[in-house]
Amino acid sequence: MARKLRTDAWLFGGTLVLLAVSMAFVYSASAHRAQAEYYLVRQGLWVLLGVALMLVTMRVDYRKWSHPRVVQALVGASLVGLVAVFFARPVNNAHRWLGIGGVGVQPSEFAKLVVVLFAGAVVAARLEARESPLPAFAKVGVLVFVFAALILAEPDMGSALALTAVAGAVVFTAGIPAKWLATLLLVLPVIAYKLVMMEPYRRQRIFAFLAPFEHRREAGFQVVQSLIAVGSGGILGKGFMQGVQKLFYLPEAHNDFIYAVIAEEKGLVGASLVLACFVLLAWRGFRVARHAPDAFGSLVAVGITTMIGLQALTNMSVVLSLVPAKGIALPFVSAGGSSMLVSLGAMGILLNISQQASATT
Amino acid sequence: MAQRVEPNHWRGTIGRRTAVVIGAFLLWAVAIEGRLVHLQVIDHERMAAEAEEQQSRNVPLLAPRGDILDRHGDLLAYSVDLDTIGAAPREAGDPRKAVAKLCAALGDCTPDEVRTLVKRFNSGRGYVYVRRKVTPEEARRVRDLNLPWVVFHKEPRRFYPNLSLAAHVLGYVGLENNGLAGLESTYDQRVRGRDGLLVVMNDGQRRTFSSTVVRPPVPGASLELTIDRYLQYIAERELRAGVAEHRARGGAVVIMAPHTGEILAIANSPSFNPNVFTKAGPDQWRNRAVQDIYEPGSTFKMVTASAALETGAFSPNDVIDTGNGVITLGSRRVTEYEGHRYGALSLTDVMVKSSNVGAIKIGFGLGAERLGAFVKAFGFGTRLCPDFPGENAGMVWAPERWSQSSLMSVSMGYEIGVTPLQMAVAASTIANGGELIQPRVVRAVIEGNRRIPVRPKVVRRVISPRTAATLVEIMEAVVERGTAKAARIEGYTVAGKTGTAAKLVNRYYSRSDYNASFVGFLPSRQPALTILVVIDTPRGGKGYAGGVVAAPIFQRIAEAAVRYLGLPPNVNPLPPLIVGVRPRPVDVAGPATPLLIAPVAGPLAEGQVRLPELRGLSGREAMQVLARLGIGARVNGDGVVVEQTPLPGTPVEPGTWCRLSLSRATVHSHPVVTP
Repeated sequence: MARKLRTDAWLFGGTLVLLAVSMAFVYSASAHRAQAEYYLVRQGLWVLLGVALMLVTMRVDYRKWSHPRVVQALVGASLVGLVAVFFARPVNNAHRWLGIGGVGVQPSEFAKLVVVLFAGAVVAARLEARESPLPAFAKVGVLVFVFAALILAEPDMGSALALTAVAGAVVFTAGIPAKWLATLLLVLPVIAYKLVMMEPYRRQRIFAFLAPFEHRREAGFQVVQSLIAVGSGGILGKGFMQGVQKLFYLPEAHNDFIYAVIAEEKGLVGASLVLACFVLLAWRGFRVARHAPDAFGSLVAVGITTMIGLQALTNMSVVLSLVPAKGIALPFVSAGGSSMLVSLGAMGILLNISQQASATT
Repeated sequence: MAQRVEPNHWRGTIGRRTAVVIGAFLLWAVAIEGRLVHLQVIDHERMAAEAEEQQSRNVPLLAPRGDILDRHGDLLAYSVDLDTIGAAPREAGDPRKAVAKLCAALGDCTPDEVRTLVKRFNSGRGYVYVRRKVTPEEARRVRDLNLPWVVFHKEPRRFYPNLSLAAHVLGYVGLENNGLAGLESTYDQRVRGRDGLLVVMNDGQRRTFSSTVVRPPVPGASLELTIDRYLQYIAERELRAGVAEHRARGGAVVIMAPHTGEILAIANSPSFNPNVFTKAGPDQWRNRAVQDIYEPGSTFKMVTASAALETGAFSPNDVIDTGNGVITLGSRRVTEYEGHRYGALSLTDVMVKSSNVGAIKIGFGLGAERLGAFVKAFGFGTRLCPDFPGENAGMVWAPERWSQSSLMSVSMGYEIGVTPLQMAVAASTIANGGELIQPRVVRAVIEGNRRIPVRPKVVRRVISPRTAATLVEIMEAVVERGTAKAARIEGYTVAGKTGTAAKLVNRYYSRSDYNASFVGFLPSRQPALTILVVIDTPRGGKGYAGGVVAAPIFQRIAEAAVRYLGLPPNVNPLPPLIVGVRPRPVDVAGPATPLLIAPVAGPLAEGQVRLPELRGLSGREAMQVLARLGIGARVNGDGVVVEQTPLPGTPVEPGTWCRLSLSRATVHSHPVVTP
């Protein structure tokens, strides 16, 4: 019989630490702007809302998310949202945002979590029934294809890739046969290459990533500014609020490049601690997956942990120019509501699974 | 609590596969940490340099250039901040249209300037000059265009309010605030000051968000000259008139105070306006009085006579037979001026009549060694004044290598190159009783509130006071009844000597080109002024002799000068008439009179007091005043206070020192501007 465990304190604590970092550095990165408090207050509200959501989801039995009606409703809502963005006013030439009551919402963020729940539900059902999960994989593949295609069309390749990768991780851990896996690994890079070469701005980003300082005036500008911020921080950093690169050198200093601000102001020490927090979350998250009482809990734990960990690593890698630039927020830290709500809601689900995790293996 | 016997087959798969995912995550995290270390430790310096380069900009804080004042504090040179117009061509659009707009506002672009500007706009640089240091009117017209790509900033421009007055002494300043000639060049380092450094931090949109003064600018020192603006004006006016009257190629006038070596005026013709010095050429720029050498001719007989008397080889009444006015040496034949035959002449009359034969015979009597020693002692062949850049040392051959012919030449002022300044200094040496005093044009350097006076420097005694007195008598006779009657001034005794030297043209002494000169001092027994006039190549119908050309110019300058200075006549002096309690001082040659400078009216900090006016008080009184304020005194000399450092009005703290110079000479009272 399952032995009830207490909520995973590491997961909970690590999340709160990152939220505190978020408040501090969103403020630091936006204090120079007109209406400096605006960003801080807004972020504070999102954090409060998100934490409230987390406290709710961590008390809701995660199994409820596997109910077919719930899953269908979530998938339906996501589809509506992903389609609706095309009718909303574009921001920066992209249909990523949906204005709801004066607040911008990114349906693609929700779609990621929905894909995790959907995949967990359909695959776990097959596994628990001791049937081959292959048909479920196919279902997941179709949904991912539809979602990813819609998100790509926004266009938002970063989110599309993240969504695909998260679903891939769930399917992979669920036991996709090696043959399928090999095929996917051969096909996906080709698709990715085609997609990259299709859009000139993506192509430029790749070149800029390969040799940032040679393209510093054009496509490499963001990357170069980010590297300068990180590098000039040194070991101990310039001190909180003392960074200069956030003053319109870094694009989106409070958002996608907040990690660069942290690295500039708190140096190697601060940047490493934030990285350590995410490693901690990933470790505890996968531990939850291995100890989950049932297949659904296990797969959802894998999906949520992957969703948060992958986005964090990708965001930091973009800041450090380890991967080409793409618009992915740093979970729990970047300014922005959709990412914050989805991440904290997902964390609540993960915490609920951790409470119910079985001691048995 | 029995465990399920049947294992969950999916749990094994998930366990194995999550391990793979965890491994991948960890690897990725390690890669990120490695990248962080690489950027923040290994590449830190390079990245920090990149950051500094794009974030900060060094802006020089231009130090204000010091003023140049005459001996009474009148401005001769000062700097004013004017607008420099620059532009950002990248934002200006079509260069031709942009330049056309600017030129329409400026109103006076030459086609050349338009071409240059278009070229500059096409250069691809982020910032170009449009026009530097423009007038306020031009700046206003361009500013009214309201063009966002036009930038203004302040740059100091040098102004010489008296135009060409003392141009050669002052020199001029280049576009970069650098002294290029004259005192502006000699004292450039001190007058320029030291530019400060401002580090400006810019954000990513090139807006300044902070600036730090890393080094404040040090204002340049001001120069107080020995030049008297009015005497300088008189010298220039009379020189100009003289050069025009005699259709001469040029000329120079030097006025000195013989007892102090202070140069009161240096005039050169042709001259130029240093405000627009580029419109003149090297011929106008040259300070002939110190840079050009000429063969002095008969004025140099002063030196020959000095040597003759000082060595005791001759006495004033020794008779020298000048025969029939001809002396030959081998094939060389020297005659008297205009073929005179003077016969037997006293040494005095040799000078009075300026007999060449007589001078040569005196020279022979002395020999090269003794004459050469005096030539050197009078300062010929050496640079005398450190204030002038490019001062000519003159040309004096070594006496041991003089031939007899050379000795002949030197005795009457040939085969020797001297500057007008050297000649004026030689005359001043005789005037002041035989001491060679270093000539100078800078009387004090004023740094902030500190006035650092330049002390008169006696270089050496050249002749004894007795010899000097004898020479004064001889030179008085020259003016009274000799070649320089045109230099006489009603009411004053004048001592002087004329010179008329044929110029060397194409290796032969010309019969048409002469240097006409006169050097003299007055009142001869208590000289206040030495005045030298040299006119280069007079060609008017009135002749070319020094007594005809140069002496009248001397006379006109001297008359104006004695009136201006209020020198009392020493011939049949008028009975004194008391018109005021404090008579104007008469001694320009006396001790340095304090300069009137409005002291810097700096704010008075906590515990500070303003230094009172102490000049005019006795040493004892001054020290009592200072003691009440708690300020120490360092005293030099005795009598009344003539100078104080810091100047009156300067805020000082109790416990500091004030330097007082005392002198027994009378000081004239002066209004003090108290802030």
